[in-house]
Amino acid sequence: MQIECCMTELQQALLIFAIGALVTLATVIMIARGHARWHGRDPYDDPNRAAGHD
Amino acid sequence: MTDAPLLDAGIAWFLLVAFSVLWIALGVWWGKRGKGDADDYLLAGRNIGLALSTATLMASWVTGNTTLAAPEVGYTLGLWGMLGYALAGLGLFLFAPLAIRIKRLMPTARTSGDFVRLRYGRVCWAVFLLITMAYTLGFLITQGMGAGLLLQALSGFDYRLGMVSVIGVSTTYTLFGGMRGVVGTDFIQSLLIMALLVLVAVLGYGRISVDEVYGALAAEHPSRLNMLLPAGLLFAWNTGLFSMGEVFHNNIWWSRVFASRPSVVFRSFILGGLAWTTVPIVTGAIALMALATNLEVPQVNMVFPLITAQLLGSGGAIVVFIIIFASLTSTLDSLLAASADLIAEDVVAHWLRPGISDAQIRQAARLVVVGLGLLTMLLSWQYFTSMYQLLLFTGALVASTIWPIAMGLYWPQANRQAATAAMVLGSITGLLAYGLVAPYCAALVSAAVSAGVMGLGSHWNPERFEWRLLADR
Repeated sequence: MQIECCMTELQQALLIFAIGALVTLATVIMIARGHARWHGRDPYDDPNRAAGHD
Repeated sequence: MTDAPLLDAGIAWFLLVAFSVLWIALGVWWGKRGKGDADDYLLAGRNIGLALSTATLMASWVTGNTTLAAPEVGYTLGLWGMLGYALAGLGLFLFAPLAIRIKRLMPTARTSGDFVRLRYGRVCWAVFLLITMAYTLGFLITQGMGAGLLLQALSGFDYRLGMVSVIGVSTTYTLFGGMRGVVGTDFIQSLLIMALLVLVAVLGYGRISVDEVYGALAAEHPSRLNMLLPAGLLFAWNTGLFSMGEVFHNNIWWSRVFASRPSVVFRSFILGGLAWTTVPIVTGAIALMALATNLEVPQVNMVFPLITAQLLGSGGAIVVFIIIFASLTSTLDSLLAASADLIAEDVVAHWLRPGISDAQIRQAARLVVVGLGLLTMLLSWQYFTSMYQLLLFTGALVASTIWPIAMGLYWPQANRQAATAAMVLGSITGLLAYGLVAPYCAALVSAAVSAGVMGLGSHWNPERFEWRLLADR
């Protein structure tokens, strides 16, 4: 693979570690924002729709 | 495999028969306490409290893989193995907020398939069912193989005798007890697992101190302490993302949400996650003792039984037998019950025979429990690969569901075509990464691709989903 020509084994592992951390962080942020969006609200009344924008 | 079994055959037979009779008796007894309708059989009457809910989450998540594979990766990867495996607790922690949303949005639903069908339509639902069935079979096989290996290593039983016994016991009490029986036995099993693991760790580190273990590792196996170990770095986040994929999509966890009282759902996932996280850390720490004492380990996934038996003698082998037997049966019963629920509700009631009665759904679920039990025995007949390698393969599939499930619960813009494409492309790229890069990367690559497709697809072509469509299954 292309990646093997220019990176050591450790550099490849660190790159994958960083990507994993990024994907995990993005997932956590998405869930935290979603949870905050619906916290204490009627589960069917979307806050954005109530405010007049989707 | 070890040459001589760790347990005397008579003791092994006694333990096998005693715990089999106990689980079946408890399961049947608990199963008789409900009203007997479909909601009671599939979801324990939707009235489980905090203690039972926490215990069943913890027991279901402590699998044969946790007790056999967590020490295996602790032994092969050292500290990263222990800590990386513990990141699988992320699945339970992050599902806690989703669980509240599910409980409020879908008060009458029964399965994760109900959500995908109503939220994203039948095409996405079909892809989802394929993914969850592939995962369920892979998971069932690893538990069946783990059962056979355990009894073979501990007692000298034939691999197939152990495998058939454990699957047979789980199938029997799940068949007669339904979810109520599963939750009740899970409570006893989780207490046994936690108490005995703490006992092993305390006795083990009473004999060999932490300083001695550290000194021996630093002198003879320094790579096991290296936090920049390439294999460890690859392993870490993959486990966390794999666990999210497993928990977010699988009906084991959705059925626990539907079965629990609304007031306990969030707390039980957090507490269950905390209780579970101690298990790979404790078993991984015990595996480090095997390295420190230069224990000969002919097969790495048997490191936990071997070191415990060496440290604690025949009493250690008895403790290991009980821990792993409880772990395997508590996971198998949950998988059988939740998969039967999913197949009866989604495949039979919503696809093959729409409009069937609740009593027929209950009967279909019972037939599926028996069918899945027999199928698991058949597929586990031959031991063919490392349990964890097989499970990593399914990680490529399940990690593709993380973003479609979570986004679909919170954001009306989450688009059904994007969700289908995210699952398909995530699974394909994950499987390619499994084969071309490393098995440890499969879930990570799948989740990354799926997240990108889901996010961009929903941004470019946002859906305007009406949440009330989820109110009635």
